[in-house]
Amino acid sequence: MTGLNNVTILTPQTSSDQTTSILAARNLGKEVQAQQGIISILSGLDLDVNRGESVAILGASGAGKSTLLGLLAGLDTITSGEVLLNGQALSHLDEDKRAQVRSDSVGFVFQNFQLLPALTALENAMLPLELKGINNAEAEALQILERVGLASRVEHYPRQLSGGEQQRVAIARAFASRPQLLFADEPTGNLDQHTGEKIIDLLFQLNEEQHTTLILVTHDIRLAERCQRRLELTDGRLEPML
Amino acid sequence: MSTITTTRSPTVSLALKLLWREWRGGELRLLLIALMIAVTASCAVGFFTDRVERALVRQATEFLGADLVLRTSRAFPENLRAEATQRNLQYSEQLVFPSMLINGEKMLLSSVKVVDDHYPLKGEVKVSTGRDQVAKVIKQGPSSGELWLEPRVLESLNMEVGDSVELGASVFTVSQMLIQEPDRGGGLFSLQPRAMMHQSDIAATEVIQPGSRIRYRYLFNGSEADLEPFRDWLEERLKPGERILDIQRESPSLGTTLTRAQSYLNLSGLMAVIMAGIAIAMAARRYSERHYDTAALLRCFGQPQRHILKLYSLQLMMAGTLASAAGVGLGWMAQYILVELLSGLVPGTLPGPGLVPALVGFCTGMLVLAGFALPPLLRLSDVTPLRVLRRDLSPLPRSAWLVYGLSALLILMLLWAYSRDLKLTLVIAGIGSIGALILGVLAWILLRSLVRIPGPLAWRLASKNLLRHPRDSLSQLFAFGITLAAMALILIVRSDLLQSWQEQLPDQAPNNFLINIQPWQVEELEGYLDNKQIPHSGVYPMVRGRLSHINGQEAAKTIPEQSPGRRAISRELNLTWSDTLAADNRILEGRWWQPEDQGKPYISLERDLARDLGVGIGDKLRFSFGDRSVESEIISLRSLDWGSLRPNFYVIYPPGALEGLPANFITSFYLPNDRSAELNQLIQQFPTLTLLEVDRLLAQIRSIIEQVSIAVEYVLMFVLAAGITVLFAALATSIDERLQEGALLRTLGGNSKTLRRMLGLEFLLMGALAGILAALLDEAVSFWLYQQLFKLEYNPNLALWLWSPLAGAALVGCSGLLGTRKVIKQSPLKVLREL
Repeated sequence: MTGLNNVTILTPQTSSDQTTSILAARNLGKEVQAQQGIISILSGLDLDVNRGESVAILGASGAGKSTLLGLLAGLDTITSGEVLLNGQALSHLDEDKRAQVRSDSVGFVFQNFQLLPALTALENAMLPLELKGINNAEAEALQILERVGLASRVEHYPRQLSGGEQQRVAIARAFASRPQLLFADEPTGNLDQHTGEKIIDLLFQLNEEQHTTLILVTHDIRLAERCQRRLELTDGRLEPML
Repeated sequence: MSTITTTRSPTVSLALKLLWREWRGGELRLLLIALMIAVTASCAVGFFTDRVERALVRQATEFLGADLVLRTSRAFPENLRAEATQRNLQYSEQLVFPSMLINGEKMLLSSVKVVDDHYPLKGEVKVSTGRDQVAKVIKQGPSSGELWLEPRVLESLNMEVGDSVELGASVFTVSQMLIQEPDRGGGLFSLQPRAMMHQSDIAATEVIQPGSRIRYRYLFNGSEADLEPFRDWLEERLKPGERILDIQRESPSLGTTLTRAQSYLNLSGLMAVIMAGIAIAMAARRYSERHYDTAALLRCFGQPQRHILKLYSLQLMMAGTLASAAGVGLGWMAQYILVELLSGLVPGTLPGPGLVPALVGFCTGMLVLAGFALPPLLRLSDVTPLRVLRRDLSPLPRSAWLVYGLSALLILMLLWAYSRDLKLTLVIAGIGSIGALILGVLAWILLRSLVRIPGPLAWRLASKNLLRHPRDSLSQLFAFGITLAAMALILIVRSDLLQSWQEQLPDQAPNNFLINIQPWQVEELEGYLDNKQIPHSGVYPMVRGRLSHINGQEAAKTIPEQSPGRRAISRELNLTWSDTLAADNRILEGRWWQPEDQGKPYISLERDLARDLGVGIGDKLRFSFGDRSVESEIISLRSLDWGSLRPNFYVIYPPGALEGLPANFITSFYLPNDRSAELNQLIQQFPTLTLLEVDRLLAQIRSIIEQVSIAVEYVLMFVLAAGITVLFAALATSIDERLQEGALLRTLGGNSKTLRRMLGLEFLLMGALAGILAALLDEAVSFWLYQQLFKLEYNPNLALWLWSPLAGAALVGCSGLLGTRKVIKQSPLKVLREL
């Protein structure tokens, strides 16, 4: 905890032009090879997300929400079209360059937390900072863990934490590197309603504090309603929800 | 899964259906491939060693001339030909006696071998019609009226093929030059220049008179099943001085080589099986862990535990049958390719592959599968149905010792079957399990201390990963450690064996013996040899004596009929005296002479003979030399190397102790082939000495050793291949976790360099730790192996402690990175969604 006094608070990496698009998809398509033949999951999908905006993507199970999220974050390769993240076309980048883009500007929160079991809460939260090569990763991570209410559990391993606590660590990890863009995939899917609500409150609070752009994939309409914009994924395309 | 909606006991067809689905889904692939490779490796080793072993035994018996030889100094009273025919054995008889060959003025004492129409029972004869002619290989001896002579006989008598020579009262025309006979190995001192003739001509020569020194050799060929009772029948009728010969007794040096080679091949087979077992255990565990959900679901569908057990057992059995059969086929092919690759090197005509290794390979597959895969699979039937709701509910390992006891027993049986040596099996299993316990604790301490060492992110992730699931890491560490230990063991033993064989017959091994040296010639001969710069083994006196009493008791009454010591008292022994200990002799117990011991009736006894006679330091042996006898006290026990081709003696006295007894002397020396002309000068200088040239014998032993060495080298390759398989199987057990972790790190912005560094470090660490464990394990096992099995001197292998961790790190590091390429290559999204 000694490092706390020396913490340099990072300011969110924001562009001078707050209204410009941070994330855009143009005519996006994704096909996969299955036993029955080629299945088209997304086709001709367009999307524009502005900086600081919060967008919920809804859709039935199997509609391709997670696939879309993966493509927008550069976790998978697209079949056709283009994704522009911070103006950079992801299809032109190899896996390592895409990892660099994610390291620089993207955070993630998953339904099943995806914490590394061998690392303590603190080490999990430090991970993106360390991958980025930031020196005072520990102090940064401690600060954010304190912010999510886990100051007393930093040395605990994931298996020693409850589901809610694990998701808090995941949120701390996501915000630790002060991303411009946060992807959340059903963040409350594995939690009871009460814990889920608390987690969502936390997520939106931090989002506001850090002026992060949020892309939230969910099928929970109440959760979606907390976002500024709601889009529904049907037949491989996004439609605004009324 | 919709098929399982009733609680009816699972049928074979259901199990088969599920098996197919599992295969299609890729779930069983690793287990089956591990099993298949295991059976392939052990089968290929089995087929190959079986064939080479049989070829070697064949070659070795060629050396002897037959599977079984009876040697007597009088004609055997029973009708052996009729007995052998009745017992389904091939039969041939020979006479060997010394006789003069005369060509005008020139004479030469030669050893005449008289053969019948069935000669040779084993091997081939190489002859030629002249010095410049091409030699041909035939499978027959001389016909009636023919005489075959060795080149040096022709040379000494100044003759060519076609000339006539007198033998006793007959005159023969020399029809062939005898280049090589297969059964030359029969005792060093019978190796006078050879003449060979047919049985039917012997009477006319009139050389056989009452009292003639004749050796009778009765040769028998047949299956072990036919030979065994015949050997017993013969043994009952043996009289003193008559001996049954087999390869062990006939040529101890060759015998040891073969025994060691067989031990080595068996050890290699054993190691291949152990490694295969580890691969299967690792694969079965992964399979079982990935099926907890399925088992829980089946329990929810109403299947009772025993049905699930039956279903998976059936599935496993069918899978095992298929994979083992495929493994046998592949092993059979691999062995053919191997033989083909080695066609120029392995014994010319290998016997065809036997059925036994196929059967053994198949059973090995099934047993290994049962022994190693059963415990993890049994956990499947213990999965609680509640797991469908709470995924973290993993079944507890069965507390029943029965399961593990049964597995251990199965594995032990398998090891025994492979090593054909219960002691070896128990020792390896014993050292293995005690070692495993100690090593487990050690490894755990090592792992814990590693994590405390600070370092960059990749280092911390790597070391923490090893501690994440301590049990998994330890089992992987063991798999790597045991595999490395097995590979290193086979590698070390191989080079020590080869070295010991090489040392046994160094390039300058004595190739000439001089016997019949009279006491007054010793000094002159030594001077002559030194003058000509011919290094020799020392000139030893030789006195023939019979062991008559042991500690005052008549030896014939003390030593039981069946005891191996019986051989020592039924014949005359060559005794010697010496004030210095030969280089290849070592005092094991007691002491060598002091100057004051000169002339005292003390003896130094060879240790095997001491064991056979049941005597030790302080015991008294009485030797009789014609009308004189000497009561002698054993004051030291010695080991010696019978294979060194130096004169060696069971019994050594201090100088002066055998004063007055008739002795002649013996020595051996090395003379390069290009100086062989000097032999004639030597004989001219000392015409009464008998010179025995053993070049051919040496060449024969060398060629056998060479072939054994090649077999050993190639079996090593199979063991190494099996080892690499284990590495990959062990890696595959943790691939799921690694994939997930890799995907997550990449999602969080980690690049492939970081990932590769982390994985590489983890495997390097694991490999180095496994290497340390392997070195520890090897020292323990090889200490025992060397002392007991190979009868070689054991020296702690310090280099092992350096190169074992290094090799471990390199091997596990490389195969680790290779085996986890997917972690770096696969789309992170795909991984995160699948797992």
